[in-house]
Amino acid sequence: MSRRLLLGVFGKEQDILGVTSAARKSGYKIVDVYAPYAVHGLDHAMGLGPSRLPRVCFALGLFGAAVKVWFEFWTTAQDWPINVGGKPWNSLPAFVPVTFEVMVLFAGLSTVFAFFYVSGLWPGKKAAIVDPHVTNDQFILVLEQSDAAFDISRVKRLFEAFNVLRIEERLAEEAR
Amino acid sequence: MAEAYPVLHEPWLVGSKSPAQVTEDVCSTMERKPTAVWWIGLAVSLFFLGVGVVAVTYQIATGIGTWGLNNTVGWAFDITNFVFWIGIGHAGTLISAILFLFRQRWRTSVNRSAEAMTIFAVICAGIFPVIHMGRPWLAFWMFPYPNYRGPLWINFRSPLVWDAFAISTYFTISLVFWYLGLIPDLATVRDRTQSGWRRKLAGVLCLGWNSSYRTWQRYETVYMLLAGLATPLVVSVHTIVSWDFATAVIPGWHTTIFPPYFVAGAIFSGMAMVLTLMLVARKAMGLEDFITQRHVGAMCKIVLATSGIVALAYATEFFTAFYSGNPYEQFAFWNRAFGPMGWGYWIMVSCNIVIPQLLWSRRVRSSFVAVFVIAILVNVGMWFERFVIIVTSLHRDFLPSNWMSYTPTIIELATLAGSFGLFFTCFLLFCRFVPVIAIAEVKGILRHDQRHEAPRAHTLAGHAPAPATALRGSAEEVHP
Amino acid sequence: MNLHQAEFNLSPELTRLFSVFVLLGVAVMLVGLGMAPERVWPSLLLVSYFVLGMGLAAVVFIALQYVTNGAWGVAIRRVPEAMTVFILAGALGLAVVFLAHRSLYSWTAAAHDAGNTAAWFKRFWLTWPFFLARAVVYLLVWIAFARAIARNSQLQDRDGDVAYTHRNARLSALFLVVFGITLWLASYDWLMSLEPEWFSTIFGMYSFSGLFASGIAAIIIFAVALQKLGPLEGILREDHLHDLGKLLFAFSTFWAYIWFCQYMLIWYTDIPEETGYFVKRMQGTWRPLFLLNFMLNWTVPFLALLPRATKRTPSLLVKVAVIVLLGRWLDLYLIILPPFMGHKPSFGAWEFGLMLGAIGASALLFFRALRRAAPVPMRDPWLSDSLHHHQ
Repeated sequence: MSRRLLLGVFGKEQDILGVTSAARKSGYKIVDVYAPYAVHGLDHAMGLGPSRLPRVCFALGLFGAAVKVWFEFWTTAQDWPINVGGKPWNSLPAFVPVTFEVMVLFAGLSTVFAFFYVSGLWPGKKAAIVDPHVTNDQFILVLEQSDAAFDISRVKRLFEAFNVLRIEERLAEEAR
Repeated sequence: MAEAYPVLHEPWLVGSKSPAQVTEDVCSTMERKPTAVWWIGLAVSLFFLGVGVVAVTYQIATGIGTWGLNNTVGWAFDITNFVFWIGIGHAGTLISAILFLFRQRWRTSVNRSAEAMTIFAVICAGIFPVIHMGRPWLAFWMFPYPNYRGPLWINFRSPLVWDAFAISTYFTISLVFWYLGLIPDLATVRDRTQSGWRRKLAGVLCLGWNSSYRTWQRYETVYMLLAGLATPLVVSVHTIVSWDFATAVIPGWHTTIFPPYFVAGAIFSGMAMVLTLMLVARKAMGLEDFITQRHVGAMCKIVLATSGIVALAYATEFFTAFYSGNPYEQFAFWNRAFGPMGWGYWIMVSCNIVIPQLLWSRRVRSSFVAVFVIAILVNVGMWFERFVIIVTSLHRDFLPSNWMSYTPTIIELATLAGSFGLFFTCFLLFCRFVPVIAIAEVKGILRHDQRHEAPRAHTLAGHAPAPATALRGSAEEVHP
Repeated sequence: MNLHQAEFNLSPELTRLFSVFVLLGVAVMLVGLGMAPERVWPSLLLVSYFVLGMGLAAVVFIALQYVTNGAWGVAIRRVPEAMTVFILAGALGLAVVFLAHRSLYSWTAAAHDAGNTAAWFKRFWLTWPFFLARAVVYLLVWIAFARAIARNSQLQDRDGDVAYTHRNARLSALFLVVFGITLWLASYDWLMSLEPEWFSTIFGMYSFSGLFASGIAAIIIFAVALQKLGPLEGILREDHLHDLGKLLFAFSTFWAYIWFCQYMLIWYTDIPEETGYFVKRMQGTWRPLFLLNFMLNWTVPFLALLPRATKRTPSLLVKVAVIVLLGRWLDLYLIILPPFMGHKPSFGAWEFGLMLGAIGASALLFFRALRRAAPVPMRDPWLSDSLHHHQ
């Protein structure tokens, strides 16, 4: 199935912010916005909820720390206890440093891999580039012409109010 | 009022650049033919790297008798170099993570190269403990793995094991953090390059980045989380390094202030190294518009602040040794300053505490030559700090019959020179093949830079107090 | 909201309540000095140092803002400025302790550490007149800096001259240097020398970490109170609270880090002259308090402040801040009291009365000090940045 998409190309940060929030308020379906950098506040304009990646970070960090502290206890106090410097078998204060490092390692790597996974990024992936300018200096708002109510001339007027540089219509195959 | 439009500070970037210009300025440095300065630098670095490779090969083949160590001074040059290089790395994480959390926008111009510096410094640092093991081919014994000796596990109570975990975690996270920051810029490189290996390589490495804002949003979250993790991580790494010494009972090593003192010292030396590299890079790569007076000023202030913390730590140690009423503590510190190796102590004090005080002066801060010289001296001083802590605490221990001195051998000096060769080789290659400035991040502050300078002057010029409407004004007024 | 309203009056009910607190505190103290002096004197040292510390933290907060050009805090700067009055109040409490009960410090007794020739420096450092002279110097220096910085800020309200901002930035940098040295020495003098045979080089840093975390907690509480009571209504925004919350999170964690470094190194090396300090604090009934200290100062605030929502919800943030202040009290209790209490900690009317008195006095002094200037530094060049501050 293919979708009819309408692309508005903008040159300024304030324009893309303005047009995105106006389009959302008018009820148009925003497919995506492309920007050369992380524009502050665009997530609110697009109506995106906060990312759930912090939960991955917290959970995996906790998991890593728990596993590590158990492992240190098991190796040092249970599996083969060795008296080093008269320290107790369960030397909890001395286990803290490595536990901390492993926690950070787990939390950090899992968050990054989770991010790659949910965003569909992998080495060698063929990028779906809307326009080469979006990694340089232009912002593109992509709307879906979802139903009959989609009045293209009204959208064009909206775009023009925000100094649109170019408007394009495209057909997109249903794909990610 | 003195002036009609008093300036609170200069802008971060010179000239009002557009995003396209930023892309052009940064990327073109990689596309041009390298300058003669770059080739000379690379040749010199490779020479020292070669010297280092020869020295390391020789000492591994021959044995640890090639070092100047003796029964009393069992740790000296290798460990000094290790702590020195690890410390250098810490400023990169400070800039990329801690300043990010503090929303210090100036970091965008220097964070990419500072992070690269971190990675290369950690590589240099990691080499030394491995050499120091004497049998580096058994380095994997540092990690717990099931084995046929019992299994006999490593001793998790040992600070040296903590070190192995800390350094490897630090390296991994720094590398991932750096790569993450690089992804959008690699996409920029891909899209502006017509064809050839550069486009192909960038295309593979940028993981199919297409600038979708949905991805950007998650990217920002991940970046923030990694910054939040890297901040305690960097503190933990040098803390653990300090514990290599402080968990011993040797006077001069065992002192509770070591962790925060080492962390401050690490940032101090690292920031000095960033300054050194940046001052060279901005000239060599033509990045004067991106690394400005204000960046150098801000970094100078961090150097000054950390110098103050380090000075306070020196004073605390000395004072407490005498306050403690412990004769061994007192002797250790007396010997440090006035013993046979006292010269090292005074180099350390002059370079780390006395000379950086010049940075209080705005005139000194704005002279790049002066800043460059001070930064180099700080690095010399910080190297000597580690040398003083390690060697002078060991060479005269509890039994005077054990007292020995220490002189490095030519092999040890060559290894140190080799580590500098490795560091600068990596850095010069980085300058050539990777965008040295975080393009996407700098674009993000362009408008901020331009937006915020103008209205402030207006507020200042106004003679009436800020009107209530402005106070009530909603966010939309400033962020249209 | 009227920005020119220079006078802000605390409601009579609250004034009465806090006055009752103060009277109770004074009464308990006077009775206690007769009935249980061995508990009241150390407690008085505790609350005085606590109150003084909040005042110092306020100056550090202001100074850091000036030095780092941190615009976001300008709108609420009058809160820490008013808190500087605590330095004076704490100094008064300390003066009473030092002048009226010097035997609180065991080293004032003759023949301290007499046999140890290596203790010549300690004997010289810990002599009573020198101790008092140093205390006078520390306190005067702090008061002078606090007044100068607050004064410049208030003078700026008249003509909005940017020169005041520059002047304060320089003063602040100087203050931070002087403060680093004086706080370190003061914490050695006033707290560490309670057990003169014990020493720990990190102690100055430890003392600072708790002091600053509690100061931020106090700023949060007072700022939210002023938002509720009027003067900061519409000015203190969620974004300011978010930043204050982050600072509280950071410095609570910093405290935990310093605490752990000190504990771990002393535990690990197990040198008798050092471990005595912790043995005293981990024996018998002290142990739960020892663990509770770590919970209140770090575990609870850390977990509570992790989610963004806590930092942006005034009522939740204030609760965390109160926990941090309780933790600070317990931390100081564990530093000061064990040498005087032996095997069992005790908490009763004496400790509680003094605590109540300190709370009442702090509140009354704060709201009084607040009236010295407009509740917002109206003509600070960074004010508009701060008012529109965004996360």
